[in-house]
Parts: sequence; C-alpha cells; structure tokens
Amino acid sequence: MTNITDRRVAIVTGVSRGVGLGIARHLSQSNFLVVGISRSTPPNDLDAVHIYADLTDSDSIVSAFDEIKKQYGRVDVLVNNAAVLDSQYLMIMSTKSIESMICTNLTGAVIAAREAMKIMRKNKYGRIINISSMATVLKPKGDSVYAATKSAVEMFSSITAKEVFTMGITSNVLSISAYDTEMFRSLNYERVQKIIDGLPVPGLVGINDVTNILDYLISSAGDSITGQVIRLGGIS
Amino acid sequence: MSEQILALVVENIQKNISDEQNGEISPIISPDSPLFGEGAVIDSLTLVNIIVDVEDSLLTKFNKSVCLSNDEAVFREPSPFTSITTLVDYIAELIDGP
Repeated sequence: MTNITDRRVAIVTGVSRGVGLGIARHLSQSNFLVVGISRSTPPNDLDAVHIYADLTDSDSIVSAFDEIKKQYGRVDVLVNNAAVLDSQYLMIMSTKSIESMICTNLTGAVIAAREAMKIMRKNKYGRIINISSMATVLKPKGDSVYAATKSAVEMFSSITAKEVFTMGITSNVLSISAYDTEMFRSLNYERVQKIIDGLPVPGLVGINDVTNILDYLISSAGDSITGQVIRLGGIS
Repeated sequence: MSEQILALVVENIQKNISDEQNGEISPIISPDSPLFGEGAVIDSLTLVNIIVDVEDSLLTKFNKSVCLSNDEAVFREPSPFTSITTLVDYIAELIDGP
C-alpha cells in the first residue's frame, strides 16, 4: 500500500556511522522523514527508516529507490555520503580495493543521483548534496584512487547540475576536511596530524560545520546555488 | 495493447511539450513524428523527461516495469527513439516479447 507522505523525505547513503549518521540525525531533528541506505544497520536511536542496500550493487540501489518511491512518493534531498577509503601506495593496492572504491564512491553515487532525480523532477524540487573530500585538493600519497573517485564525483555533480536545474533540482558538493571518523582514524596518526596542522583552518571539523552548509543548500536561499563545490577547512 | 501504449506515449509527449511551452501551444504530433534529430518535435531534455514519464506510466497504469534507458535501447539499430511508432513497437516488444 502506498504511503504518500507530506513530510519532506531525505535520503542519506552510508548512514550507519560517521558523517552520514550525523547528517541523518540532524535532518531527522529538522523534521525530515529520513531514509538511510547502508550495508550496516544504524544505531537504534536514529529516527530513520533504514533500507539495506549495497552501494557497490546498482540493482540494489535501484530497488531501494523503487521502494522509497512506492512508500513515500517523493524525494526532496539526497545526501550521497557513502564512501570507502583504502589509503595505500597504488603498486601494492589490491584490485578488490580499487574496484570497491570506484563502485561505492563513484558508481554508487551516480546511480543514487540518477534514481533520485527521476523522483525529484515530479515535484520540481530536489537537492542533491554529494560529499567529497579534501583529498581532491591536497592529493596525498596513498589516496590516488580515493581522490580520483571523489574528483570524479565533483565533476559529475557539476555537469548534472546543468542538466537538472530547470527541473528545480540543484546538485552541489560539500567537501569535508578532517572529520573524526573511523575512516579518518584508520590513517596513520602522524600523517593525519601533519595534514590537520597544515590546513588553513587547523583542526577537525564538527557535524555542525557540515550541517550548517547542508541547511543552507536545502533552504530556499539555496534555490540558485548549484554546480558548486563548497570546501570546509579553508581548503582551496 | 499497442494502442494503449501509443495513447500513453502520445499523452506523455503532449504533456511534456505543453509543459516546455508553458501550455501555450498545442503540439501537433503524429505516429511518424521524429523524436530526435532533424525534424524532431522535441529537444533532447524533453525526450529525457518523456522517457522517464513513459517508464513511470507503464509501471503505474499497467504494472509493467520497463527500462527504456538501458544499453539495449541506447545502442539498438534502428533506435527505438526514432519515432513514436518505433518507440511504441519497442515497448510492446519488451512487454510482450519479440
């Protein structure tokens, strides 16, 4: 049975932890009906509908969006957050790691955006926020594939922004600098500290830094803001 | 079934052209109207919207899940998007089998 909702619907990929979880909590508190998509189950106290989907599997993503369309009939916001990182010199990086990063970080984001756009255009409103990384600017050794996928996402977002603006849909990138996640902590400590110290705005960013930008992009003030990459940490 | 598909396709084309032109001009289309290329009655973005709407209508009205944007449709020769007739034939083939 179709359960069309009057509440605004926000989809967050990679919702089980880190930035995705923080964004989902914030959107939920902002009265969005949050649908979290991830391979792992988010914490029980998150007020969100969870759909299990493997972001490396296109069919799995399409099925998730079909379900969302049937249940809620609308998508207002998509936060493409899911990502995996294996920081390693390319010569000793496994093919599995390379494929995993490309499929999750790039293909998964592209398929999710495509499916979201199809639903958003019906209401002539949509906000797609693609999460990127400071790695695309800092270009650290070991992040060749990760940064390549995120750079590709930035380009993808910029071009699709042109395609969908007349449909009331915007597409932007929020590039996060040093955020205290499991992914970030998996990196070498000395290397991480060196990166943080070298940032124009030294230190970790908090979830409020992320959600302040997110709120602006989602608000009516963000109606004409599209095709942009907004970088935290003073990185340019 | 083909007549129903034709009606559905034409309805979506008219709706999208009308939306594109703010409802001011009633589009004149025929089954042989080209959908892209020389003499096309619509631009590329409108064709994209029509494809998505037709997929959506087939699902909601006939409970048929049809993908018109997969590799088979895109690379097939002649293209299913050559005219309204070829598009309707292609959809009927997907639903009923060749």
